[in-house]
Amino acid sequence: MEILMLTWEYPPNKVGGVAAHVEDLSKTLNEMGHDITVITFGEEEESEVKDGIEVHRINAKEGPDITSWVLMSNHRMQKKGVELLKEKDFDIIHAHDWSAVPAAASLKEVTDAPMVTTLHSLERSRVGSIHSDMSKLINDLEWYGAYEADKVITVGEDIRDEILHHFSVPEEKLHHVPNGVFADKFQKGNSVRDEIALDWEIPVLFVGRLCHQKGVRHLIEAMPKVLDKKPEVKFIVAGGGGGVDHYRNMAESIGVDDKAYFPGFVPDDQLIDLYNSVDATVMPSVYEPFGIVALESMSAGTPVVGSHVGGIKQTVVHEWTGLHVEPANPDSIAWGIEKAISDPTWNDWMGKNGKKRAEEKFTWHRVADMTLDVYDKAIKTK
Amino acid sequence: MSVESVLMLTQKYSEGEKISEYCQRLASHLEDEGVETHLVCFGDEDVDEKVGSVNLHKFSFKMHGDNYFSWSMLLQSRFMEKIDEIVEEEDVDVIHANNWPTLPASLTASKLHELPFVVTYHSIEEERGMDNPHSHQISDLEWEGIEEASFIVVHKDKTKEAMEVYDLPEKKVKLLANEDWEKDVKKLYDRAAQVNSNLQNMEKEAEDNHGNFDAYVGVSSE
Repeated sequence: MEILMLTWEYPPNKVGGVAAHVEDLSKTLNEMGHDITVITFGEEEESEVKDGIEVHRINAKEGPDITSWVLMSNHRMQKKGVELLKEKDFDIIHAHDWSAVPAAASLKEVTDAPMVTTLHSLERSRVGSIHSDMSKLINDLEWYGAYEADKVITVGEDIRDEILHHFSVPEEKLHHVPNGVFADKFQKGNSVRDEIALDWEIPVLFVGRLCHQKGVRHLIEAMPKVLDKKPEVKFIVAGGGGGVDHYRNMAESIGVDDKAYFPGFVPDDQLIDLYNSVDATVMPSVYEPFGIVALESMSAGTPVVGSHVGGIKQTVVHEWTGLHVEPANPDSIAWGIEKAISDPTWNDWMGKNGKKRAEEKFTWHRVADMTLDVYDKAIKTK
Repeated sequence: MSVESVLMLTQKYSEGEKISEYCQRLASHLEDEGVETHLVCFGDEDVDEKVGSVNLHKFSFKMHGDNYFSWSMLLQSRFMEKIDEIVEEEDVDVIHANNWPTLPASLTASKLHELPFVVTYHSIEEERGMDNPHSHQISDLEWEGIEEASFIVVHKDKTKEAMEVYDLPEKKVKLLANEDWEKDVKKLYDRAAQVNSNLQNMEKEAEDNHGNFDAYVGVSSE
């Protein structure tokens, strides 16, 4: 199959999880014998073939807001797509998130190829509500992406239901395809436990953008409750985003700053070491369409304490691969962390179960197979 | 070569509006010369009808941008859709854009359908003062139009002077301040269509005879 992927982020340009998702899916589809072309944003206009994938980067002038930049980028993506049509006959046009929808919708109009849209998350849940003109436009583009697509892929079941009800998308158009993980990548890390914790300390990891959606506030509120019972716990709160100083100050104001370490954005190789060095990974998210961190941690054999929301409901199995806790509830989060680390034998057992689950249920080959099945359905629907 | 059909684009088309009147006047002259004008624009409802000399194709669009720039950019998908429909049914020879709000679709459609395109800048952002929050993006689009158009038409010295920042080939920008400028626009269409057609024929011939256009025009493959 000749597949065109449209995404605003693609490695090395990585902001959220979409870049890694598109790259891993593309690599796997390519290994399975399909031709993948990616059009994405870049600092320079350039084209290259990397790992068998043809990547075209377009550039667009930044403006005073993200939406105008995205729409300019879409114009350039569309133009690049039209240029490629001279030599390629795409079977599928696959848009990732609202930021690639206008270009994908236009290219769909001028080719015979069906359009598939993956909605990785929704604006209304990312920001809490649609309260500004910008949010309204993003929400409209998410709707437009679902409306124009022949098939819509969602990474979680909760977000699937959200799209079904919020955008009134016909049920048969929606397909749940989870994220995948290359589990072995997360098993190659070295333990850096000695470097991040004293001999008697138990490190617990948070990974993600430091923002409201990830529930960092609730984790910090849970810290004194955990430390009351388990003073040996040490929190590594890894991740960038605009909230680092805010949350560091919050930890200081409630007196847990000596037990909470904020290293900022951590590159992949260091992150893999961290997963392999801690007793638990905590995901206190209030909204999490999928939550790739759970799969990464499970792949490394580290149990996950995660909110009972979105994709975490599907990846983490309560008391088998980790623990579910109530979102936005510091008492529940504290309970989960304490319970996960209280019995080392049980902790190891959950880690092994998680590793097995990630290796068996969430391989990229399985995800690519499911995606191809959606592509086939889209072609038949068109 | 004498063109027979022109596809014009303007964002809105209404009585008394300056660019609409410009298009009307041009279309009326083109009709006298036996050229058909299809005009695509945004409207309150979908309309395909003959109004005076113009075959008017209005399309509706319900989405709202978060500002005028975003809204104009959102319109481009619908412009593209409509252009595609018309090109499928009519033998269009040239695309004529008016100002930046019709540029993205014109640029893409010209590539897609291998049609020459001409743009009229009734004014440019540089001349308007660059005081809009999106001025740099608008200016970037205008530059893209300048680079890719066969000809750029302006009607005021002020616009031509403002364009000097772009360091353009002098003959690419046509300042038409004369009374019968419509005749000159028609000549530009003919010239652009002729060169486009010559190149396409050469390319086809090269493919048929040699299988490689670069080799045919003497470009070394090394």
